[in-house]
Amino acid sequence: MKKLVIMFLAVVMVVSIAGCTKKTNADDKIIIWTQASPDHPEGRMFADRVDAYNAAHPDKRQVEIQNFTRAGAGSGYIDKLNAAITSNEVPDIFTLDGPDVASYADSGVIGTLDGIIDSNFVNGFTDAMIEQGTVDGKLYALGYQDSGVAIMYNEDVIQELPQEVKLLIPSMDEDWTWEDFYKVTEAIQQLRTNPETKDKASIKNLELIVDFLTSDIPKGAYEIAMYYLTPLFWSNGGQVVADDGLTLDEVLNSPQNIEALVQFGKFFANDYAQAIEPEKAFHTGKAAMAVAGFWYISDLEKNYPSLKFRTVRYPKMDASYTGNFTPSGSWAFVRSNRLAMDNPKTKEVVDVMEWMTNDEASAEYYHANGAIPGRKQSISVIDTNTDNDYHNEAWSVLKYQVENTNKARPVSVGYPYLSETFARDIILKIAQNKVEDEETIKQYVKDTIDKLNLEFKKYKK
Amino acid sequence: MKKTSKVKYRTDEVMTAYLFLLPALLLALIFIVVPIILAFIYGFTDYYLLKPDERTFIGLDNFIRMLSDDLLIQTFKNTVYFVVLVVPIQLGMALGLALIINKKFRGNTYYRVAYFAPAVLSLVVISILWSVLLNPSSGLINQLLSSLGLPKQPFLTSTSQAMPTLVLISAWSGCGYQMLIFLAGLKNIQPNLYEAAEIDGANTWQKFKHITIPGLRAVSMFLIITTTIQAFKLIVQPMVMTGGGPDYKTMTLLQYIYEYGFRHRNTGYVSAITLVFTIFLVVVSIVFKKVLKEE
Repeated sequence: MKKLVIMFLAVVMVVSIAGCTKKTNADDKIIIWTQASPDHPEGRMFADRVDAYNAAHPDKRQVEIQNFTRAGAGSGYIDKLNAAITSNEVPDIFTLDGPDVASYADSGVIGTLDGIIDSNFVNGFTDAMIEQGTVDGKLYALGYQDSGVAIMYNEDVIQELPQEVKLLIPSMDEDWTWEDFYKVTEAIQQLRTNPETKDKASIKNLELIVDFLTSDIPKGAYEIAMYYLTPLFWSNGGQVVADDGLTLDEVLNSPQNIEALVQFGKFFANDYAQAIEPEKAFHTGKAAMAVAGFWYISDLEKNYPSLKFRTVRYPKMDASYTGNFTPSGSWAFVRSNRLAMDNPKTKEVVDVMEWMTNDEASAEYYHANGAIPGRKQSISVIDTNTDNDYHNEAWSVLKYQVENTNKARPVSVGYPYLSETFARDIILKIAQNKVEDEETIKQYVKDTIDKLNLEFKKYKK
Repeated sequence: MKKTSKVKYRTDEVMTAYLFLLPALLLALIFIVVPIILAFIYGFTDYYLLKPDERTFIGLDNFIRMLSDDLLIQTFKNTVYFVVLVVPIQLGMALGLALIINKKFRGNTYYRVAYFAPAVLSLVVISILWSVLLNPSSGLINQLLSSLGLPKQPFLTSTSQAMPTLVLISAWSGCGYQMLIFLAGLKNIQPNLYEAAEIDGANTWQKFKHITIPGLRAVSMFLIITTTIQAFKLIVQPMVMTGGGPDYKTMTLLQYIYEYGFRHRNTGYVSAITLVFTIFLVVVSIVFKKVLKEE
């Protein structure tokens, strides 16, 4: 019996030690890590794509994909990745959210694709995709999809508005401004108190006017603030951070940005928007309008077929602005810098990255996940001639934005601290404290800059 | 003078005992001792998570930075505020429930299970459920308040209400476990003490004060220490329900350590904080033990 116990303990020890030392990066394979859940359409589409690669290239290194589901801000997956960096076990290829690329490039964890990848292939990506993957003039990341945000409104609610207000809402191929957007929400609020309209089903059901998804920010989706709202700055001639990715003074607190934040604050100060919205507020008719991501479309079609959702372009702050400004960007594939440029495996790794992001993959991802293709040639797969007019309108708007006005988020080594602090110390404070006065907002921005400057010291060494 | 006799063990018996201890010792070494040693080493460096090979010794810089880190100081205050509120509330609730359950009445088992149920639920699940219930516009709690003619409350978005809300939810979710321990303590009190007190004419309050409370002293001290240390380690509820907001009013020290260490990759700095926090918890435990000994 004693011997049995000793043997059992010895086996436990050996198994534990073996478990701790397991190597995942065998040289005869190419390992990919992604943030997608294996049973999510995104995870399945990657798995299918890898299977197709392995079948098409039996004589090359086989690709193995491993998924580590991400939580709100990418944690879970990012924690796993950071742990791999400290133990020098970074996989050959892995995914990163577009804005995170700069900090991983700066620290030498990921390698550039310049000099290995075919420039014609690179030129096939949309401008915003190239912009988000480029750090200091070098390309590091290949986005497997783009994204987009527009404004959606509930047609039943808008029908009740006076004609002069309805005219403020543009058609799908017209631009409009945040001021027009605000006037529409103001008019909808009046419908809620007007005796003639307040008891109508679509009005009675309203709990807020516009859904900004600010509830998701405290749950860890800090990127929402930067993703949804920096276009206010851009379309007013401002920026979040200077081109060096670190300078904030006279940039984040520019008069254009303060004006944009005051405009944003007006929605909350007047109770047209709420810091915590009901779940699926727009989908369930509790919000008349929404700053809506592309993923709304398939959800609304599948799960809320009775909602008459209309879509218009993302508004500008300054009507005369002509540059790119609409939200874009998504997760992308990067390669580990572990392999030297002249290592034959490096070329194979980049070939796999191309396979995972080429025109064919882009089109497949759209069909599997409703993801906006990040490649120019594949955007045409978006069908805007279906028998569903709401679908056609929404995709037409997003398609236009991807092709013409999408802009990548700031490239900064200070990510994600930059975006989290922006979300928490400016956007959430404005929303939760219902602030619209310029002085308070200036103070929020000043405090944020001080905090960020302190943190950014380490990058300026 | 008391004479102690030493039992002699055979060598193979000693070896077997050590082998039984080995797995636990190994785990403690890997997951407790080594991390503390590493935190001590890294605490004196500028370790940035993405550049593990470029860390340099910076002396006491991280410890000096802690003194002027307003957010760190605020998270420490938030944590202490939480502990000061939650320990008496949670233990009070646990004791109250234990006293109810200790009575013999119909459906006693049902209530015992019902009160204990939140203790076995995942804290993430509890936090998500309460987030829905506390939604300012459509949450059930505010619907109830409205139906009673009371104004809706912001709860988790209010700087003054968010932490007390977390305290109550934490107390509710954790008190079931302490209730069981109190219940075990109550069962250990001799019934004849109550009978004697009744014969002497003691009322309910007097019996509680002079028999129940002293009878639960050891159990109470154990629960105070464990609940306090547990409360200092609060992280799930604020992470899931408020993200540390509004205005960092619910961000706890552990959440700060996680965010600055992992998400913002300041490994060196948070190692220093972790070291100080560990020492702080050890001191708290020693103080409690000393008080307990004196009691």
